[in-house]
Amino acid sequence: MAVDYEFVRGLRKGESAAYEALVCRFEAPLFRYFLASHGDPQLAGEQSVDCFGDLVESLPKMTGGAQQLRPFVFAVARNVLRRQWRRRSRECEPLASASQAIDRWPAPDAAVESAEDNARLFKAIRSLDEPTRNVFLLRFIEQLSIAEVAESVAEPIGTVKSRLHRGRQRLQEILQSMSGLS
Amino acid sequence: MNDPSERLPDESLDELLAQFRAVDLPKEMRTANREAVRRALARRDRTLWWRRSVAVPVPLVIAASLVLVVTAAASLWPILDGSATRPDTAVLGRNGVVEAGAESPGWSVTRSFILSIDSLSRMDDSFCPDLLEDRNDT
Repeated sequence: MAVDYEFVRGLRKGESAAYEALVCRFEAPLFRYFLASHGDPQLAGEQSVDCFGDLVESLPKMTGGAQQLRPFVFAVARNVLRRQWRRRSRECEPLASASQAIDRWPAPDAAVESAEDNARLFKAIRSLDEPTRNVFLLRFIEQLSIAEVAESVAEPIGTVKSRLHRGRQRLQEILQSMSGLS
Repeated sequence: MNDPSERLPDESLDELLAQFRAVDLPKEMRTANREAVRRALARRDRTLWWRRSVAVPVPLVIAASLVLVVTAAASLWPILDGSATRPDTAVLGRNGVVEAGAESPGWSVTRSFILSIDSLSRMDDSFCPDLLEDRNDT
């Protein structure tokens, strides 16, 4: 994805047209990233909203050139995810509020949720440990390069590669065991 | 792409992942995202200028901090060392010779003033001998 210099400059200056382009470019990837992390479409929608709010605050402080944008966006998304987990572990949200939230936010594409394969995949991805799942999602779902993933998760390239290798093996094992059970 | 970690898992898993990559979000969520950005931009525009922050490279911050510390140390060192409280003890002596070790600067200034008057009177004698002779005549 070619992200030009003018676009990033527009983001830094707070131009609304640049932010409109940012939303168009990243809303689906961010939604998928959040959704794959916990499987809750309503929460993924809320986290996308939080993430865009955070991006408006933090993008003017982004260092580096236009090629840093994708890793930066996913690094902010990761922070949103972590913040949410901390909040949830403190509050222990009741089920009633979750159902109200689902009423507010319609479910995403029904075909995705109903597909058995996708459900299996969701479950398998969620069963990975958090760092492995994170690099796996960025590399294989969002198709970031290894260097971009490393930058996004602030880890060395070697660590990212070993996590990917481990994640791939683990996911295959999980999917095989699931298909064996079914 | 020969690195095993660069390759996608396998064909069947890649098919599953490809389906997942096609997941899209509903229109309401798209609207909510745009609204969130609009609100955040409006909030940022309202922020007072002295509360805004800017990105500064870390090496620049380190260099500026070092310069500040060195400047402060250089200006404070004489005070901390005690040398700034000591008066300048080199003052004019009796015959206009610089004497070291005089104790009172105030006294030295007064003394220098008196000595200068004395030397001026001697200058009168040496440069205007006629005046002196006139005075003797009278």
